[in-house]
Amino acid sequence: MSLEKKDEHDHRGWIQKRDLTPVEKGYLMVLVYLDRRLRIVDYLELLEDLYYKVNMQMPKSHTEQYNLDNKFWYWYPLYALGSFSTIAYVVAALSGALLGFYYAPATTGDPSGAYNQIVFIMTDLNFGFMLRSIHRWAAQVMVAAVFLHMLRVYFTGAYKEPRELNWILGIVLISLTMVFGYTGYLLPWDQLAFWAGQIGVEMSLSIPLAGEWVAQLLFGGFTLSQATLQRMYILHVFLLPFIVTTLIAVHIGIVWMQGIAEPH
Amino acid sequence: MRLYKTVTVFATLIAMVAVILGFVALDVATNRAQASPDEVNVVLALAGLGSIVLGAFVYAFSTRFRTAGMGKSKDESDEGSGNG
Repeated sequence: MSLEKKDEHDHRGWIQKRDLTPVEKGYLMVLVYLDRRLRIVDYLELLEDLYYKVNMQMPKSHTEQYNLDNKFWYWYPLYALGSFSTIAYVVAALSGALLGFYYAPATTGDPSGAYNQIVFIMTDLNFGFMLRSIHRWAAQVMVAAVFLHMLRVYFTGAYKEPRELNWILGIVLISLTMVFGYTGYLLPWDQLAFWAGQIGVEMSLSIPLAGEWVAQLLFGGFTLSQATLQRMYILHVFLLPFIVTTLIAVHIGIVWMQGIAEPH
Repeated sequence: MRLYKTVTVFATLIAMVAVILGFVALDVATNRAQASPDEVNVVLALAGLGSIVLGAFVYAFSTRFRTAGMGKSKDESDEGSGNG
């Protein structure tokens, strides 16, 4: 397909031969006039063509191969929870990237630099309140959706052979989602965050044998300090995003390849 | 099919622009709904409302034109499926 002019549909002739009201005729004339000058539709058709050609190069998914779109169960609402959590993850990632422009993980000052930045985002920054709200809600929705997704998979028996690996991967992902939530929860460095951090340190210390080591590694010491906030920040904005994004891609890739388990 | 695409693409585009500009005009005229009644720019406000209505009309009117296979509320579709 090219932008070269094809044997064109005779718009004008078509309009003449129809029995149209003056308003309809004028309406169509204006649109056809615009179409003649701004060839937007041609470019859209080009994109459409490109889309199909690229699609032809992709290996067939399980769904396409066995023509599953025509099965009613495929559209059960609870089967959308996985997509729903993915969308929430993307929304959280985008809003989080924007929040990152304004946040600084500093415990210095009273109240701390981190908290001051949160206050700045919430009260002074244009759309800041909305941005942080979107980030928070996306996080809440993701945790809820991931949990319900797990319930759905469990109760429909979708975790069974040959999908055990993806179930295990899902368990890892739901755990990492909660770590994501926890690290983000500490970032405002307000009372809620501080004492949640304190609980985290003490929970780490309660682990037999490895407790002190874990507390040192995750919280940078046995009491909360700048090191704690810094580690939570790096976990939240650097380490976890890479790991979780990769694992989600693998998780979805396996579903794509194996197909969604049919309900029995 | 081609005419249907023309109608859909351009009608949607025009409707979007008209409605958005309408709301912008309304916002400007009423100082984002903060203005007291006597300092509202009535002409601009009406122009904004008009633009919104125009956009809605353009969009709604575009749904009169259908292509083969879409069915028509009353009679047959507007075009044959030959040139799609």
